[in-house]
Amino acid sequence: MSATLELLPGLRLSPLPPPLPRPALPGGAADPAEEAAVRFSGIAASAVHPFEVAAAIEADGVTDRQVQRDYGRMDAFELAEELYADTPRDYPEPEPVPSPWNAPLSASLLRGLVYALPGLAFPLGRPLLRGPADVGGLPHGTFALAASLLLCWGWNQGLAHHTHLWLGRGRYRAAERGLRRGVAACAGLGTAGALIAGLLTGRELGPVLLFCAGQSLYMGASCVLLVLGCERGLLCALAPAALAGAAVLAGLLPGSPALSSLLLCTLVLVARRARRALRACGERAEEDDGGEHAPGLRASLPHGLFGLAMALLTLGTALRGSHVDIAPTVALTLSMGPAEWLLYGYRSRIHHALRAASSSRAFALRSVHSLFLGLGSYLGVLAVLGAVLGAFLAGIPFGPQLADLMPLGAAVWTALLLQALGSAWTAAGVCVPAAAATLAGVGETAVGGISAAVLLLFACATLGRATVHR
Amino acid sequence: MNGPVKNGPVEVTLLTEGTYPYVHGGVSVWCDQLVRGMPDVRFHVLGITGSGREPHVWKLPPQVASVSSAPLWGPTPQGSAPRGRGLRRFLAGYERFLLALLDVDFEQYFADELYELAEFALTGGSLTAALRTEGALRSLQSLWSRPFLATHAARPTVQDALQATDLLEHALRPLAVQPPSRGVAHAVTGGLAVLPGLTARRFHGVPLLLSEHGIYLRERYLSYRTAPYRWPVKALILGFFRMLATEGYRGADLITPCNRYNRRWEERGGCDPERIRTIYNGVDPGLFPYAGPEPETPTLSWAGRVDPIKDLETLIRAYALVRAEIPEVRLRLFGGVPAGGEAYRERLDRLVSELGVGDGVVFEGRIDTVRHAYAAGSVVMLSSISEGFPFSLIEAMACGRATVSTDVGGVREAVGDTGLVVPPREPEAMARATLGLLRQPQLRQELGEAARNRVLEQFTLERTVTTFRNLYQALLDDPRATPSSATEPVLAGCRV
Repeated sequence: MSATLELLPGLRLSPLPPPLPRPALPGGAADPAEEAAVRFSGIAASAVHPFEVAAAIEADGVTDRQVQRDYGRMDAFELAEELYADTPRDYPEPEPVPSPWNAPLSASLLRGLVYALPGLAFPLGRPLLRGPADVGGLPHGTFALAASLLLCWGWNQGLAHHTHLWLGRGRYRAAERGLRRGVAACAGLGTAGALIAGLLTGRELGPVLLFCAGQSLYMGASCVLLVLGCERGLLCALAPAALAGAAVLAGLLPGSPALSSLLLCTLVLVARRARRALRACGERAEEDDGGEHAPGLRASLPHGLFGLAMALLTLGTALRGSHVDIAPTVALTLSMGPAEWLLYGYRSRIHHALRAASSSRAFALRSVHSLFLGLGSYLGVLAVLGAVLGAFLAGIPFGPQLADLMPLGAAVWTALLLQALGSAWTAAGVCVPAAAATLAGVGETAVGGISAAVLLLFACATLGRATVHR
Repeated sequence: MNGPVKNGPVEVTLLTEGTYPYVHGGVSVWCDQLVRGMPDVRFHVLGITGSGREPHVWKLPPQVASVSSAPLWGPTPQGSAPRGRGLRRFLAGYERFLLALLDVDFEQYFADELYELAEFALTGGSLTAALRTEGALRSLQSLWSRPFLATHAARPTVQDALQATDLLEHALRPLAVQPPSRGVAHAVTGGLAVLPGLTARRFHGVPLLLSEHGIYLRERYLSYRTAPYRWPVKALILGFFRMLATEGYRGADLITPCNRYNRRWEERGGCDPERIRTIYNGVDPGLFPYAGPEPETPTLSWAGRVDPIKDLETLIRAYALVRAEIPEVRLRLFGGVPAGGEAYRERLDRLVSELGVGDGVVFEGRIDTVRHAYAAGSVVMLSSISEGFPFSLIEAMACGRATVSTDVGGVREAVGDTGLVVPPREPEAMARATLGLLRQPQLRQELGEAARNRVLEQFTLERTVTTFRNLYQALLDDPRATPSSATEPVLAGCRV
């Protein structure tokens, strides 16, 4: 008659287990004690206390009268105590819980692809980006483009985290509202950043600024699609510009302003898809979509800072002195897909490790093992991507660029892992100074190496704690 | 610290869990009756809730001065864990607490450590943060792996420790709410709602009254049988519920079960029999007047929630057996399907068609005037496998209907010799009794009249309300004096 609440949301326990089968004993004339033992032995074996057996006896519709009549005991409690004492304990295992981190590789590869494909907009947009060199001899518009990209990147990381907080609470309307504002802010921020950087460093600004405005809007809209899980839609929308860009890059088509208009086509497609996804998200909201207070913006700040630092480090590998070498950047960007998949793999291994380890120490060892397995795999993937792209795009030999790329890759993957497991401030706290050091001209190998070492040490210490993975 | 404000109204804090004023039916009805019956008492309601965002579904009368809630799974409570020596001290106490849950030889630690945790939570410490520390997890992991504990043999894993800590942390959240500091604390259910009552009693000397309808502990044992946890987790959390029940029985100034059947659990749980007093539920005879003539077609009627605990399968099977003898008999089932209970309803539909009695069984759905449901039957049925002191039964009796019900909880005490009581889960016995009644109109009428008289004499709402009103006053005057006046009601025609 009383209504009890379960201790955890989503935990649904059946108030009354199904009735136990009445045993049909061979030989007809059943010994009541034997019958009771057979009927309740399963319960008694797995029970944690005689009371549990008494509860089961009562719930099976056996009244004290029946206990006295059929079993010759005073009441259910007496019978239960006897059964509990006489039955050896047994520990039935519940249904194994499948790991929630079993994501298909294809989904992660797709994400890596949609992170990297927008890069093909640059060869396609080259007619817009022609002009006198920037300060320091870098190609025209480099600073404006980089500033715009950095700001959007950082902003989107924070926005994505904030939206996930809303979505995790089932607050779809609030997520939709936040995303709408976030996209507008992203477009504004990226354009303003480009304008300022351009004014400080460039000469002719017009077409570059236009390109940056489009890029910023694209970044915002694609963030919406990525957060709401519409990677496929994003890929379709990217197709016109990406295919044309690839053709230009491969020399199959000459770059021309007419062809550049395909950029606009992709931009419109992405914006439309984002609008549709936003509307669908808002419609998922139930009528009671208020009440709970908003997740603080402060929680998303380290994610934004981390995104900014990541962007700086990744782009930093491209801007060396007075030329642009995009091979490592592209390799890093493409590797983000496998990196995510390997993060899932790590978490999946942790899922099993928690269930296999019977002491905190044993778990910590498994956790470290898992960490190095994930990191090693990522570095392997990155090495292959870097070598192939380096040879293709710049004709650089395998060895030297690996020295730069590997430490940086180790830092990036470890930082991503820490960020995913609640140590976002640590990830940002190491990566932001590292990015600043790169800007100040410290060598990338040193920056990458030191940050990777610090992050790894921290990860080994932190991720060995089971409470991090609850 | 304690004591009513002189000349002020009597203040009572109702401690509920998942019921009044957030849910309809069952214990909530009882709470509403109590509150409405005492316009001169100032009530506060402290409800244990889920998310803390549940709307009130009862219109609250003016005597309810305030409603507050202690959410079990709302946003994670803020605050940071103690560090250094503070944390070590906390963990030392926590380990004794855990030991009390896991080993009967250490049960004596439970109460002291529970109140230590409460004091920690009430003086600015964050119990949630402290229990979520790695230290607390390791305490549990190393403790329950010790060879002398029963959990050792079940090989507890780190995941088990995480789950058990998580469950315990949520279960202890009510310790962090400010307990009532004056008047009477009245827990209307066992379990978590008792926690603020115990702290109120401990820290403010507020007398605690505990009314049990079902037996919370018994229901928890049943629910956790199908829980998705390994043995050690079950052992720990059920150990907590058992020790909580024990401390509630030990600490409450008076325990008022709604039937004598439940006393068995309370006495087994360590309650002094002197402090137990059965107080039956009551109905307002004005709202449930004599139902008038029976329907023309012989009809079995049933009213309640369509829920597995009501064992409608047995009822439908019994009906099929009755119909084999009396083909024109019908079965009308009044009551809604609670959210999440659709699967059960479908199972019943399948059973009905399997038995080929689809043309005689009608699911009538929710009904606003429940007495019409009783009036619709020649005989009113109750097939539950678990009950406290069922309202539907005494209401049907008040309407002057003969009843066939299952021998669970306080049913026998309610019915006495004014209806037929059969063993639960036995369709044949239920069918036999029902056939007997259907074939003897004279007997039905006599039983119906006797049933109505029984309710008027023993189970009126007025009687229940007056009893509780007097108890509140008595508890305020002298909490520990009440036991001597706790006499059991004597019921005619009832052998328990």
